[in-house]
Amino acid sequence: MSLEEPISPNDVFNAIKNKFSNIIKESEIVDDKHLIQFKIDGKHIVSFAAFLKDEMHFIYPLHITAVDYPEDNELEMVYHFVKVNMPYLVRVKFRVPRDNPSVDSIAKVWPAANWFERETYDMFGVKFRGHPDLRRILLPQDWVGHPLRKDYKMDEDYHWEKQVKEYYNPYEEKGWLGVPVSDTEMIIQIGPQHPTLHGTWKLVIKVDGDTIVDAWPDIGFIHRGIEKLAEQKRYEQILPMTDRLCYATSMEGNVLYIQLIEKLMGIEVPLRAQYIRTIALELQRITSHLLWLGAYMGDLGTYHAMFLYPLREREYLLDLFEMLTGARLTYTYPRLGGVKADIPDGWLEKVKKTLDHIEKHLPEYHDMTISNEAFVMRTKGVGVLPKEVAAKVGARGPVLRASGIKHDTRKTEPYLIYGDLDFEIPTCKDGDCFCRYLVRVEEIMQSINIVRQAIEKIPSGEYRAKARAKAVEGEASARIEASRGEYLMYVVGRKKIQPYRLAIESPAYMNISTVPYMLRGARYADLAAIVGSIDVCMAEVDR
Amino acid sequence: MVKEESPKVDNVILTTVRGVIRKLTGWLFDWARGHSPWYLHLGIMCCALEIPMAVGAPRFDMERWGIFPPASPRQADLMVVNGPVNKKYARNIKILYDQMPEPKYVVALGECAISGGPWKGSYAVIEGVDKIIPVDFYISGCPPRPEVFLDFLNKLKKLTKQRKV
Repeated sequence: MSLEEPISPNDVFNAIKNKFSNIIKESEIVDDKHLIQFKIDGKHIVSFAAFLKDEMHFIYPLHITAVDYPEDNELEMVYHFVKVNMPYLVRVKFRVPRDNPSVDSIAKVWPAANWFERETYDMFGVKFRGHPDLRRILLPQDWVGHPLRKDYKMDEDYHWEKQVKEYYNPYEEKGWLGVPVSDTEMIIQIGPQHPTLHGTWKLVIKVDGDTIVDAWPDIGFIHRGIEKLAEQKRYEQILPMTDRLCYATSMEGNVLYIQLIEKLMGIEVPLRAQYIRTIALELQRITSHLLWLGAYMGDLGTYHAMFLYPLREREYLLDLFEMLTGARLTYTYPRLGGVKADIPDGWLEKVKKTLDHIEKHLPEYHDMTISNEAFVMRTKGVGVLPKEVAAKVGARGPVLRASGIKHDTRKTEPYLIYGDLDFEIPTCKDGDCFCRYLVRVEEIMQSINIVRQAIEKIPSGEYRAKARAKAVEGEASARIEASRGEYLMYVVGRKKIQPYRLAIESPAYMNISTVPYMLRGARYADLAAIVGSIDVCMAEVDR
Repeated sequence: MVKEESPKVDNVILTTVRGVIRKLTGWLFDWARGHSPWYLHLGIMCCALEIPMAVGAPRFDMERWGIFPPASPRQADLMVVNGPVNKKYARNIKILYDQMPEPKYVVALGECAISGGPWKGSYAVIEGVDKIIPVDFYISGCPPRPEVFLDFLNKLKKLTKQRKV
């Protein structure tokens, strides 16, 4: 059996049930066969994960988190696993005691779990036994307390005022994590404010001459604690915060969040609203990829032509968004049961015109780029992430597809109206920076195609059903294919008008965690090309 | 009590001469400075897409007014902070601020930098960048439109030339 081989949800369910009959406490297939859920004995999570990886050929753990239940004095661990091209998720849950919790780490089996486990440690204080590098990830190393626990006290303040006064540097004396450095080697800390990184994060690298030996991304410089803030806000009030999850693609955060809540509350959406959301999502994908193209070309030194052209086209698309939603960047456009307002008169014609314009000019830019020898030299064979490694470390979206794995949630588990549309998933074999460029450019063309089809088919009728947020009990998880990859949100409701727990998994988070695998062995001069090619969006990473 | 030493005569003369030259030629410096405010852009979140990217892109094209974001704080007259300042990040802002040459101004751009904005009440966010460094200008909006920033810079240019800042 290979990575891509299909297995039906029933087969997976039965295979797991037969193998682990003694440790499974509850098992069910729910949500129209889109979700297979197990409650297991937490001691066996490693063998369970190893079985999913080696026998069932699941590709990566999509999300690992915890939910705090102080009244039971327990923490519930929640794992989501995903299989390539299969329309179901496997959700695994088990409980651990709240005082001094510890769980076996699956990071040895699946390196993709590494950062999720670090985050769970950071936010809940769960200790993972056998984790290769268990330290805080989003918060500073000397932070006190674990914020996502329900009894976390805000007044346990961090000594940032003292740091500002004294420039206190926690790493100053120890080097970086006590990493041994030989005579020819050197540690370089890049960031957190550096033009190469396209956002506020820090990349620490160890170099030998100009060859990069190892790298450690350090994130959390714009951590805002969305997940904690969401627990104090009503379901509708959270929507504007999801705009600011990834500022370059606000619509994706919006639509995913609204879809999640609709799933939780069982709200039906009129067909016209689904079409409008699809068109908006695809336009957003084009905007995001154009922005990436401009920024990446800026990195590679073709500043004045290829930086400016994609940004010029992006402005036309922002005009469309402004007409539709009233804002250039932060839209807050979808609503429960539909969208905020119907599309304005003449908007669809304007969309068609803009798409014609982009379709005419994009091949021109493509020619300009691939005929530029400097660009080809700096990207071909640089930052290679082979297929097996990409699957193992949990690369997402265009980075995964550039490594030759055809996985796109729009095809795998069609949401909205993607099932009715005809489009291709571009892939590439080499897994280098050039491939990532090719995949993204081809995705723009496919998105143009999708929008055209949706405009042809868009029905008239209601754009919004009457729906209100209800105080429900239950849990739901929804995923979509964002511009940066597979995006998941998980919500637990407990008969309150606020969510009990809202967990957000972002694709850029996992893509950043793959940076060390691309950088090892690369030249220092290729750093900008490699880091730029993964398309980071730090607001989404740090949340 | 330690008796304070009187400053050396050389130093007094030098400072006085320097002060006189400043006073006489200050208008020239301000006039020159007013033509091209270079700003250090501290892009933290959403506003970063509007303020250096969209403003630098062909539609708004700020370079026609001599406005440019240099990559280093040591060449900047103006620091634009946009986005929520986090407790982990706070000291980096102070480090960058201290590297800028005088005279320097700080702009808090967008709600997050002014007061914490939508993240007010979070355990990680400091409510306003003015708790870390002195802020001279506030521009509201979430995010502000590119036109607002261009308007601000042109007003700043005028004020600098008139020696009112």
